Amino acid sequence: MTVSILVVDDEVDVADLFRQQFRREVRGGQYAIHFAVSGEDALAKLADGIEPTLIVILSDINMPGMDGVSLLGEIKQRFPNFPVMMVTAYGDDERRRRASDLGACEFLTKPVDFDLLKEQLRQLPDVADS
Amino acid sequence: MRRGYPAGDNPATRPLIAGERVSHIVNMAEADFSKVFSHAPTKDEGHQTLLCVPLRRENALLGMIACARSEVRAFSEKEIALLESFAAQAVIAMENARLVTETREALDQQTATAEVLGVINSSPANLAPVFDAMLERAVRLCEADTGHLFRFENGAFFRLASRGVSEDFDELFPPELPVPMDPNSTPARMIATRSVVHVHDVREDASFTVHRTRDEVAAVEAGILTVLFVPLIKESEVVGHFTMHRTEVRPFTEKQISLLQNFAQQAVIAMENARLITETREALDQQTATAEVLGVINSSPGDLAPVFEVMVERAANLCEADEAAVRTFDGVSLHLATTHGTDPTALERLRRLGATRLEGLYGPFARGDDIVHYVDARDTDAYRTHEVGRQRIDARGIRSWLAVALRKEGSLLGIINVHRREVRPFSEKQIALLENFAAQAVIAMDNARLLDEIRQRQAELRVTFDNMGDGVVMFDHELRLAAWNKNFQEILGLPDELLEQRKTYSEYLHILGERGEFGPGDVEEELNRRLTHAHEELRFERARPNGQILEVRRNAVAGGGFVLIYSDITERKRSEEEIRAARDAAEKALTELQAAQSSLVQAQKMAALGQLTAGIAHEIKNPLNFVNNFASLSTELLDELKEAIVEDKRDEIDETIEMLTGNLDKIVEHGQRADNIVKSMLEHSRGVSGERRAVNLNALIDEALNLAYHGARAQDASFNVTLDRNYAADLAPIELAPQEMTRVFLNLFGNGFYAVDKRAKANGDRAYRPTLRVATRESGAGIEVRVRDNGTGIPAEIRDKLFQPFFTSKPTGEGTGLGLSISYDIVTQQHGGTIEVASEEGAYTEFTIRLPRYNGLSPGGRGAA
Repeated sequence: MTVSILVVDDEVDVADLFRQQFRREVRGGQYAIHFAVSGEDALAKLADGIEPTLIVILSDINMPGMDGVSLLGEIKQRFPNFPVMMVTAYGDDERRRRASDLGACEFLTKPVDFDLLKEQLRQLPDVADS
Repeated sequence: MRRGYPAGDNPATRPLIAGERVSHIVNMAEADFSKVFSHAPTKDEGHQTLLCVPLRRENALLGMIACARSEVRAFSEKEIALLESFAAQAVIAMENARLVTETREALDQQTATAEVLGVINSSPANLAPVFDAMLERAVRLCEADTGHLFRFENGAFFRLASRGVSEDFDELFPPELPVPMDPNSTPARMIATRSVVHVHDVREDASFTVHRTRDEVAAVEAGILTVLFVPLIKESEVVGHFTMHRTEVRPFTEKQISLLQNFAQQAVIAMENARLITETREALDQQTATAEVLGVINSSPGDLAPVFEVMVERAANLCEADEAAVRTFDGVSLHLATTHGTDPTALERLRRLGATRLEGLYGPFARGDDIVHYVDARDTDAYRTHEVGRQRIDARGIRSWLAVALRKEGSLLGIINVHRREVRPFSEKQIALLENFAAQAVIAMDNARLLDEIRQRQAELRVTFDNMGDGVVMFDHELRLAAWNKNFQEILGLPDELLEQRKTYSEYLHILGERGEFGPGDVEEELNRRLTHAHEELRFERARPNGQILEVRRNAVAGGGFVLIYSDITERKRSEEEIRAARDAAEKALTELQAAQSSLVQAQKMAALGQLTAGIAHEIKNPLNFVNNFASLSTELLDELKEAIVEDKRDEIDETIEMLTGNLDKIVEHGQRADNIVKSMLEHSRGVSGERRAVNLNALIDEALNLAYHGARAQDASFNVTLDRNYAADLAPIELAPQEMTRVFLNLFGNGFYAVDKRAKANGDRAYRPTLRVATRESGAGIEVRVRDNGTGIPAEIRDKLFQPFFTSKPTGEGTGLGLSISYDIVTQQHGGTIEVASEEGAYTEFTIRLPRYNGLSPGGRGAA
């Protein structure tokens, strides 16, 4: 079963990064990588519908326009069952707490440890089911 | 029986007067007695023969012895001789009696004179008893029924004494009542002739019968018949007279007249003596009183009470007053100061009444009078109309009242007054005396005032002297201790006993020297040094053995001597030391502060940087993440490439190489991005080390412009821009930090180039010509530089964020957001200038920098960043 991962980041190179890191999983049909350059872009893509529908969202926090925390709030309102992982260079507890309060299931620190991310993604269905 | 009859018309006595031996009328019927008797004596008495034998002494007929017979029969010779013998014996007896009488009269007169003189001597000033004694003897010796003594003055008579008058005479004719002289009266005659007037029988005198003046009428009514006036003459002037009256017609004898004249002379002498004595004694009394008052003034200077006391006591005595008082005047009311003769109850009441207005009896003083004299206080308007005044006058029985103002230069200081409980005016002398006292009182009050002022001043000076912070000591012209204040004594610790000995300056210095005041050096030498130039001004400081520091000043005094002033400056010195230390510390702190300031500016920048670290971290971490991730991916891709080469999977090999190439580009790109961020950060945090100097701003700008242009061309060969240089030709040099300003201009030009390049690349319009215009011109006290590009412009909403650190409108990686922030600091903080921006989106951006020629800010003193 293929899981869609929506990566939200204002840095376009992040898309290449994820595609290369997940190239084997994508080739194996485990994950499909989707990309949005802003919070607004992400909400629009989610509203349009992303296939396959089991979606995990990874969002940067520091973005022009709608930032990651606002996006988290919006997603949790509209799609409360989609797991959202926050990614940021800021490793401070305050942001982690706010993200957690809003329903983020994970908090990743840049640079992203892809092995850890993949492990967490594997455990997600359990989390989503629970 | 004593009735006499004329002898000449008598036939019996005529022969005796003619000097006959006897008068022998044998037959009286034949003689003519018609002039003697109304009828013939022979018929009445039966006298027929008359014999008269004369009583003769030294041929003077003294009398006769007459014998008569009732028959006509002549007396015999024997009988005649017998009668003659009797006559001779009678003459002897008469002579004897005369001699005895004359002796006794003379003795009486002499005795009277002596007695009068005795009275005069015993009461030389008081004439009343003298006049009484004189008149008593005059009336007795003149055998008068009544007698008076008058004083004559200013055309009127004043009765001095009377004898033989009724008890109510004084009431009918009061002694003090002047009796004007009637020019037709007998006394007027006496005064005109200055001689005795003797009226034997008033019934035959014109004054009494024709003019019938009042006195004469009164005299006649009183039954007076014989009157004698004897004038009292002093220096040819009639000053009075004796009057003797008899109620019978009997002239006064020559002896009596001369006795009266004698008395008159004595009376004149007594009056004169009395006047002289009175005058002398009055003068003496007044002088004594004045002297006493002066004595009191001198002995109690400044104290008015004893002066007033002696004054009222003397005033009451010498003015023969019952009471005397002094009141002071405060400009509004009179205040009782001292009284004399006032009984304690009245005094208590007076004191209780308190102040008195200038009303009632005192009224005239309010109108400026100096002397007020009421013969009778009850006969005044004050008594009649002033209720309080009347009560006082009645309560104290005031009748004759005299008061004198105490005035100084016209202003009323007080009033001295005396009064009597009887109506008896005060004499001129008494008024003068009170005036004299008033003058003395004014002097005493003035003295008291001056003395009080002097004492006050002295006390003030003393207080000032003693309260002076400095110790002050004065040495007189003999260089002997003359005066000192408390602080002097305290500072130098000198006991009273020592100071009271009035040591000389030399002794004083020796005492100080022996106490070690002048330190361990040679005391004598030190003393010599000070004494040699004792009269010169001196000022030095010396430390005492107890650590106290004294400043000693010596100032000469006019007239010799000098003043030494000791100031305890220990505290001041300590304060000065503390101040100096504090100042040194402050200066050091300032230096440190100034040194710290530049680093503080830096530190503050760093602090600001620290706050922004999180934001910066994101910016730096992002490229680093890419570098790391793409590098690590590339390693994996290389492994996959090797496998693909071994397996010779052509498509896979190409795809992997393409990915690797893309990754390497990304690594380089993100590496440079991180590098730029770090460079910008360093640039912003680096200390501004620009040295200021006068530069040609046009040249500086042109250099920066070229640098920026070539830099941009080197980065992008396709970049092109038209440079419009518009420099003011005569721009004077300006002092600034060239390196820093160069950075500002590089930044502005770089921004301009970016804006026009961006517009050029976004705009397909081939007609667009990117232009950067730079203009300079003199502006006020400085230079204005405008940098204008026709690029994309700046949206209005971000224009005010333009100069904030880390704000940038450029896409990520193209700007640090610090360029304009640093430029702003350099222009405003370092150069005291301004930087403004004007822009229109899609049209232009223009920065205007204004730099003052002198900004007053030193490189080290610029404000916080």
